[in-house]
Amino acid sequence: MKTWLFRITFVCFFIIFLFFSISCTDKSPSNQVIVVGSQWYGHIPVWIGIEKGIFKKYGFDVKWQFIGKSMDRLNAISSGDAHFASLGEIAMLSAMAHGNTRFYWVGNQDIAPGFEGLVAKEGITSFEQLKGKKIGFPFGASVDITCRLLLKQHGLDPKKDVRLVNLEVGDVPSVFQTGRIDAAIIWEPGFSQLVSIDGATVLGMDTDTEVYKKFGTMTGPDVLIINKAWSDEDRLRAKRFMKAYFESLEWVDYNPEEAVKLIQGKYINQDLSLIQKNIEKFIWHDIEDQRRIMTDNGIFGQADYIIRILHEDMKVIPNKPDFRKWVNLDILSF
Amino acid sequence: MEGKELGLWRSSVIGAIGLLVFLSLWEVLVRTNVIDPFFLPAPTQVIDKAIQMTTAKDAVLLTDIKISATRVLTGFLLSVFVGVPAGLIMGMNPVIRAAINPIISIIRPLPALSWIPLSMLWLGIDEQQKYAIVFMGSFASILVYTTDATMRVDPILRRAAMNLGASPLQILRYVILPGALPDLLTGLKVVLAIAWTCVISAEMVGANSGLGFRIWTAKEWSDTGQVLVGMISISVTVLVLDILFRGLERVLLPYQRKTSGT
Repeated sequence: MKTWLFRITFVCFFIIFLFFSISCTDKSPSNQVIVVGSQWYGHIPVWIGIEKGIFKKYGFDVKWQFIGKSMDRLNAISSGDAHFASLGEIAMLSAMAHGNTRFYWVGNQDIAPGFEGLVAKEGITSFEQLKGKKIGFPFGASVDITCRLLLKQHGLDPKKDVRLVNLEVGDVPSVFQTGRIDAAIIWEPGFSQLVSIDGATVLGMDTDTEVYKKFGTMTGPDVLIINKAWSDEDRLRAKRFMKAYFESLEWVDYNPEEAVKLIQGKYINQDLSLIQKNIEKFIWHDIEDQRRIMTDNGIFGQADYIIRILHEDMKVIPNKPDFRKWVNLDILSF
Repeated sequence: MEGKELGLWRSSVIGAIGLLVFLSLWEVLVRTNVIDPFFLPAPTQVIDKAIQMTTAKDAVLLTDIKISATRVLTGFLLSVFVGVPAGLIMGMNPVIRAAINPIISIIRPLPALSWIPLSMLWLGIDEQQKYAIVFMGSFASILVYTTDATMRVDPILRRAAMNLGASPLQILRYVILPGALPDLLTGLKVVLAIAWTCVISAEMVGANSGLGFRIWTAKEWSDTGQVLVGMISISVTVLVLDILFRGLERVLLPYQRKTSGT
């Protein structure tokens, strides 16, 4: 019996020791900031901040880590292993609805309409022809809502009239090309790949949705979030980081061509000309814009609208979160 | 106390108490906010979610369990039909074994997830693709288990049967199969659990139903409660299948029951 007790105690102590040694060795230096993101253009300010040494100038050692999906980025921020990210608004609102309070919403860095669209394969040229057909896209992303809105606007019931297929972001162009699905909806850089396939027809864009017509934004605009604990731990450090970020964003805004040359091949695998063409459509929101945009007349009205769709129409979130509780604009006052 | 076997009744009671303590501790830690419910919802919240998913108009949970189980069993049975005969042949014939072993060594370590991109190109996104993922994830293991089980049959028994004039088919029927069956069934039980991990990978993309789909979609909507319901459903389903498998073992191996005294 004693041996049995000794073994159990030993195992417990070993687990506790292991846990503490892992958590102690995992502490990163205080000037190190882990930023997570994908190949989307909305991350350009971070890439430029790294490449031009803007973050370094403010005393930060920024490490870029690729995480393709918005919700995965948000989870990385929530875990505390990542500090800052840009992601789609829909993932952020879903997390809020499920009670995730580990982050602040600190901005909306861009408006980029016309970057995601519904593309049909050869032979399908209208929404009516989509009836009974398969449409592929990553569920839970902005395209999920864009697709449903476009279908509804054209009298199609997303649940009954078509078959929606959940695909990984990167798989959408290849699956579409093989003809296994009849239509697909995705954002850049996948959208350009879809359009370049022989016979493909663009049936609708995010700019055709009621969200764009009402608010002038994409269905799921880019938002900036920061880890709450990291920010609260040292408010001045967080403010300094945001200052560096927006300085970088302004540099991108004023030097788009140079910015594209710096990032192409390293952060984004697209032709230089294509990135340059796309980046021209981007409207960057600088630090001054944030006070105008992060209001009820700005993106908040749009967020309320999207929450209603998510909660009442799609029934994918259990409540309508009061997202204003997550907003922290104090961090942007330098 | 040490080394003594507990009776079925006592071990069940102790197991139930252990489970109850674990669940109570979990509930208390969440309710007192030691654990953030966003990270890990309390057991009662998970149960509520499961009830919600079971009693909803379309009873998605039961439908998902049925669909995933069908995919697992189809892919798994296909692997058994191909892998077991092939494994028996490999176990009995060293030349074939030497020829096929390198190929199996390459295929066997590949996780089911790695087959997704190619399987989507080859088979599309319909049910065949899901069956193929389960098949690819379980076939090599079944083949190896069967080959090993066949090789473990006492060679003296084989030689004795040959000396008595038994044909290769008779040796297979009366010597190899009964001798290899216990190890083979143990292997199949292990592979059946592996097949479940495969179906979860298969349902990550190109699926509109199944427990894997439900878990991955719930993750996209930040619904940790639904993720846990999906995970627990897999465990319960595997447990039920394991019990059924043990029943099959008892039917197929009555002599083992007698010798082991259980």
